[in-house]
Amino acid sequence: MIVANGVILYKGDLPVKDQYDLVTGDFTYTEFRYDIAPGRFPGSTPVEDMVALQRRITG
Amino acid sequence: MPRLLPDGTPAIDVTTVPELDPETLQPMFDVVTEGEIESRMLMLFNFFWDPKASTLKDAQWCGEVRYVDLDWIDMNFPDFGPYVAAQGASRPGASSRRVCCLWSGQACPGRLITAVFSNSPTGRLDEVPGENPRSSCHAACT
Repeated sequence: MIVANGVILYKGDLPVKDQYDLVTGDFTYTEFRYDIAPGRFPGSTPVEDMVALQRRITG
Repeated sequence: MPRLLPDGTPAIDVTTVPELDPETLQPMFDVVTEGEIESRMLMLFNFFWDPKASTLKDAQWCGEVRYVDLDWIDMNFPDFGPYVAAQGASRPGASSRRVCCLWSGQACPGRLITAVFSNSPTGRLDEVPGENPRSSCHAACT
């Protein structure tokens, strides 16, 4: 479904289809995570691991 | 120069035998659609997903909210594009860009989420489980 400012532009199946022209039900999105964090869909970033080191450097 | 066996036959047979379709007896081939693969980075703050899912493969719905141009809407959705009202068009000097809520759902066939949309990119997105996969899907602006 695609909605723009309250107007439904498209309502139907997902656009991804297989070689037999059947809807697969797959999203067109793919997630890329640096590291897996339990309970957090986006995962974690390398910057999070650097926070403690940076605080130790800055004193 | 090809290598030959003592009797004069080629040492390596490089001829290929195409695989035939058992029904039509014609060579089988795969149809590969040509085209450029377009990938786009999404802002995580404009992306919404099933909070109960740990991966997108398990998610029943997901979607993104982003600004698009009026021309983009008219070009891709010629039937309903003209009905899209301008966001803030009543104000002088308002931008012609409209907010567009792109929503993808029904990852698992037969299971659908009734979604209530907000036309604000930072708005609230609610989720209500639907019963009928076909009739329970609706959208409303808040």
